[in-house]
Amino acid sequence: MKNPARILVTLALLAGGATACSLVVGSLDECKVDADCASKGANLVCQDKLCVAGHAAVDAGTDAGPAVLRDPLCQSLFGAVDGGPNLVRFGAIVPKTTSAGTADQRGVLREHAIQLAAEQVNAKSALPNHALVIRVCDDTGDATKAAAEAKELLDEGAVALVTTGSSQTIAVADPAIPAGATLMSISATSTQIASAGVLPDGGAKRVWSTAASDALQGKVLAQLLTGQLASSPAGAPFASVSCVQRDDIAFNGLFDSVQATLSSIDGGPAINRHIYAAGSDPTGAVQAAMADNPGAVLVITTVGETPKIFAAWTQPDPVWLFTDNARSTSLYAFDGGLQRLAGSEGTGPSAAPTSDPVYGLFKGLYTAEFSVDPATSSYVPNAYDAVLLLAAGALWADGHGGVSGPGIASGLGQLSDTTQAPTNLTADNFTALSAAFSQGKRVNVRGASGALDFDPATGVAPGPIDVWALQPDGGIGTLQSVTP
Amino acid sequence: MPTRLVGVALVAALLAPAPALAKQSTDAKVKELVKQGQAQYTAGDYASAVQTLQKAYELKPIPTLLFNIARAYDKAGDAEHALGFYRRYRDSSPDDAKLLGEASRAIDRLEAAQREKEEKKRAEDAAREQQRKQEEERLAAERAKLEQQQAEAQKAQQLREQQQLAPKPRSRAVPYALIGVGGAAVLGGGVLGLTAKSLADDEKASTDPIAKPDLRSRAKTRALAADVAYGVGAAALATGIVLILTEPKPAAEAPVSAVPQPLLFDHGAGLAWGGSL
Repeated sequence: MKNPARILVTLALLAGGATACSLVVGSLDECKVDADCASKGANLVCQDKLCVAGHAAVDAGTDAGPAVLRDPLCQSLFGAVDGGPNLVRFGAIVPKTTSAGTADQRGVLREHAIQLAAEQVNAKSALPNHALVIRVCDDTGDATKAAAEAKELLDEGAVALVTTGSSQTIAVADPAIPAGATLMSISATSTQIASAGVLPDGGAKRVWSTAASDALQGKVLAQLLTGQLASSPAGAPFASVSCVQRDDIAFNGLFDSVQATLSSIDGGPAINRHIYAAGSDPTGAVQAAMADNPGAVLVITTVGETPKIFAAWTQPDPVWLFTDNARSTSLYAFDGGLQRLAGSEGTGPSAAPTSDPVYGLFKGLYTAEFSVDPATSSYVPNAYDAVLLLAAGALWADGHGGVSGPGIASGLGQLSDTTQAPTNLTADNFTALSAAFSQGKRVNVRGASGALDFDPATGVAPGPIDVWALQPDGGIGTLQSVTP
Repeated sequence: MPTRLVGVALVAALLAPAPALAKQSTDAKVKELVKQGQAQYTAGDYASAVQTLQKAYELKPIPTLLFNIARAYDKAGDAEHALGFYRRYRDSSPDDAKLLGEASRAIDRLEAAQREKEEKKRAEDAAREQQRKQEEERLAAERAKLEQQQAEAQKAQQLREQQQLAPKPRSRAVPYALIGVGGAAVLGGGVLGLTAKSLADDEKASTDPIAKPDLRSRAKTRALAADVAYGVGAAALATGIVLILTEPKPAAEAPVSAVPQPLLFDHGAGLAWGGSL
């Protein structure tokens, strides 16, 4: 306040710089209408008497506009990620994290296989004049979430989806079939798969699986219980058998298969089933099973729920038998688990033989890119095959009316002609496949996961079933491979 | 004074809104809101994401925001609002052909789901209506049956009441027994009378002072007995005959009708009763 004139001058300068009207430079208004901005640059509009960029250029993060919202669990994009003309778009849904938020190695390794297949297809120009792009979602093992993610993938334009387990695949089929997409599962084994995606108009079946059906696994389980296999557990044939089962559409199918086979075997034991609701406490079912005083108990549930069953079982352990869902070291992840369960057996579709040349090619590419052995987890070669099978279906469809979900499904029906010499299912061989298709021939592909001899009516390929056992050291060894 | 006026003018100028700054501030606000909406969407808080993105759209009507709002509604399971915003995005004539295709497919999907839902509801309504009709028919049939049963019960009751009111036919055993007993008594009375007559004759004929009184006594006794027997027998006979003659006719039988008919002859006239039995 010692020098009011200086203060006033300072204020005047500040005001002039901060407002539209300056005592120093005069009016800062630029325009009254948009046309006044034409001379100042392109795409400028008059707003508040100033020329500013048009609405489309304003965004939260980039100059191109606000980013389109994507499901945060669907951010992985492989293949032709930069877009381009003539894109063929697939989607994939795998469990990459658990419901607890930890990484699920099964999904991570399968995603690698999907990525590898997409890259191979584009690198080898397996789809002439087309580029393949695949968005991969993480369903965290939740079938409901998978179905919601599928809607987003389908909206984006996916004509085919790669899925995983039976429950998830059946849930995804709900929005996918009406949208015209075709599904190829990596690991769905439910007997329900054979009837899923069957169209009333007789069109090509839309739900397929690279994994052997539970109908076959059920037969092998029944053979184990009745002592018909060399790997049958001690004590077989069992006079009485109980089953503790999670209520699930896929598990129901597997149990039905076991029961049907047991009833067809002379002297086969009756099997008492005790069901508990999915995710609920299985104690009641376990107590009912204990009351049976069975010689063997078949457990059909997710590996995550098995510890609850063992905790509720208070009698001396019977002979435990498991299915492919329990083929994991997580099976004994509870106090005293390994001690109680060592030697217990189970079944599951056989992995591809490591000596197979197609598997060898796949393994070489996979290991080179990701520095991990694909045999570390199950169904990894199936994931690779799933993408290549859908791409082969797209190749056929491209020559028969254009790439579409129904077209791919029709193309899948051309790949398992066992009267033809096998063709290795690799991106390199798509030229040969294309030549055969253009001559109206069917082919017989053989993939990294096995023979892939699909029945076009059921969309399922038969395959050998492993009998596995939990080793005392915590490992899981294969006792026998059975072709039912 | 001039210095004071300039000062006031400068302060006023400082406080006045600056259009350029306001514009920049709006853009920054929109960016901030979009960022916040994306974060809410990523966190699965779709309802908040919708609100935030709508605020951003109110400040800057960017078409992509319509799509994002639609997607947030879609994720929240609000198909109706999602459909509305996807349509608004489509109708905003956006430049992004890929996103337009995505919106169109979402619209097709949601419309198909809506149709399916409506068809399902119609089918359920039709099933409920059918069930209601069947229930109504069942109730009507039950009501009719009940009414019929009640009518039959009422009729039966009336019949029973009529039967109770109608005179019951008397047993014929009693009158015939009375006739039999009466006949026997009369016959016995006759025998006793003859005996009494014989004794009386003997008494009259006897003169024995000892025997005569004895005969008279015995004749009296027999005569009294004969009188009693005659009396009882006659009464029984009469009662039996009266009962037979007064026995009522069965109710179901048509009543006998008798009508007087005049008769005319060449040489006289008369009256006769005729009718049907």
